[in-house]
Amino acid sequence: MSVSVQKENLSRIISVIEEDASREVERILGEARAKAEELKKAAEQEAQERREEILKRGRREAERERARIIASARLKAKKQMLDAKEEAIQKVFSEVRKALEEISKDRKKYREVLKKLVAEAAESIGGDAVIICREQDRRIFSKRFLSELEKLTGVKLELAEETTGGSGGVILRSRDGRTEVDNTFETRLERAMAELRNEAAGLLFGQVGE
Amino acid sequence: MRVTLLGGDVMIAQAIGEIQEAERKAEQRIREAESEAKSIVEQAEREAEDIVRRAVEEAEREAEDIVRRAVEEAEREAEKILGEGAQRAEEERRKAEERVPQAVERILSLITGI
Repeated sequence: MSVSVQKENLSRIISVIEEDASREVERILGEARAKAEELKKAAEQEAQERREEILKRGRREAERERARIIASARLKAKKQMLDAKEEAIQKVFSEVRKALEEISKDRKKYREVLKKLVAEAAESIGGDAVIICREQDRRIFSKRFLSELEKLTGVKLELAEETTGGSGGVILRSRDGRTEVDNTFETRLERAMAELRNEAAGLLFGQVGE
Repeated sequence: MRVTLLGGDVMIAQAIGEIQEAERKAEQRIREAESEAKSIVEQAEREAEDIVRRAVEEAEREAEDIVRRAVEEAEREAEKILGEGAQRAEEERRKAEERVPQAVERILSLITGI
């Protein structure tokens, strides 16, 4: 084999080594670039998904906050309305209390009221009874007035030694002490409060039960 | 031991040396390529993290903005509701005020029976 052929062969071997190396280098770098591209795509995909999730959560929170604020405002507005109504109802009851006090000072009118209250209580008791009234009202229940009441109610009535306080009205107790009807103004007002509240609301606002 | 290379042997030794050198260079190139590949992947990993981090930060800012705008809008609406509510309550109060005497009279009659 001549020297030139040998050199040519050597050169071919070296070329093969270099070409193999180049291919390997390309393969290694190619794989790395592909992996890098894959990582980028995966990151973009993850970024998109996380972005959507965060925005979705944000929109949900926004809706919750909005609903909470609006509901709270509606509740406050409703309370304003209820306060206005309650204020008016309280005013009615306050005026009623004042008027009751005034009635108890108007002897003629008060007598009429007492007559009604005694008659109503006597009807409930359905027999002889004693009348318990305020100390200052005892003089109203004269013998003549008691007799008038007896005629009206058809039962025997007596004025008790015991007295009651408050702004007016009477308590009737059956003679055997087993039944008692409290027709004092306070008790009547209290007893009828819920009913009167509806009555007052109806009269004030044109509706019942609100 | 003393080795005496003949003419042909020298040439062979030279050829082997050249091949070994070529192989060494080839291996070196491959090692460098592997190192570069590692660096490419690491850089890509960092960039990928950055892509996600930036997207999350931006989305969080947007989400906060969505909530803030919704709250502002709701507060404006709430103010309107309260304003209208106060107005209605005032009207109701005024109307009720006019009807108080009638209600007092009616309730008084229920209590006193006259």
